[in-house]
Amino acid sequence: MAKRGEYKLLISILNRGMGSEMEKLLSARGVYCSAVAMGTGTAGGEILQWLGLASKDKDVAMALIRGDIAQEVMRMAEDIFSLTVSGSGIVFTVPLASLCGRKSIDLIEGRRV
Amino acid sequence: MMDNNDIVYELIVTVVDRGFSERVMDAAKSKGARGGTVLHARGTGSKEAMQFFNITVQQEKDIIIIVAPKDIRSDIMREIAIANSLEGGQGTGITFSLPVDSIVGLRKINNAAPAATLTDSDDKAAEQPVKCDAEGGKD
Repeated sequence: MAKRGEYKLLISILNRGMGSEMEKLLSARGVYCSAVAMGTGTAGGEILQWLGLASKDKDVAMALIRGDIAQEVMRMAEDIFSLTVSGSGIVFTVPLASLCGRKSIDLIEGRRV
Repeated sequence: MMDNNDIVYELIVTVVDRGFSERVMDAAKSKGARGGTVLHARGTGSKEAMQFFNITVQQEKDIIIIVAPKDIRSDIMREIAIANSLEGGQGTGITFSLPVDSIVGLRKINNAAPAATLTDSDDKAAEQPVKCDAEGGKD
């Protein structure tokens, strides 16, 4: 069984349309176990929302990655998506407590399943 | 390996019936949450799933994910639970939290006015980006 912290769930909340770019970034780094869901943001100034200027549509990209490349992937995402600019999005990791099955590990490691 | 004391943020996940996400967010923001993201989902394995003419109708769900500081996580979750228990328990669901061990893209407001009171008119110059990683804490 994989040790705690060895694999992580990487979650990226980005503006709509950026999910595919995140998938490209992940696949370039050898991460293929990912999915993108459509979400709706709830933060933002009421005035902007009232004027219809606040974009609330989000892409939520989730990927299972090895812990040793998590920081590198996050730094790449920070550069590509300009995450330090307010409202661009956030990327964070959640440690996996357990992982079931040899095929799951092979998929995360990028080995052919 | 990450020590629990190093975890600054947590991910609060709430699953409720479709249409009740606004109630959840109002409750969360009242206790300091800055915002969240709503995902649409379908419930599975529910006893409430009904069958019409051999077609299974799955219950529509909203999943609300909120990144919040660990020190206010309990207050937020408690307020969500209270809000969900109102109106006869309509739309109730579950709420749980997961540890976040690294995050980029959050902005920290200096001199800590509670995040829930911030508006667009607040001084943006006071904002600084926060990067938290497993090794070095906040940058």
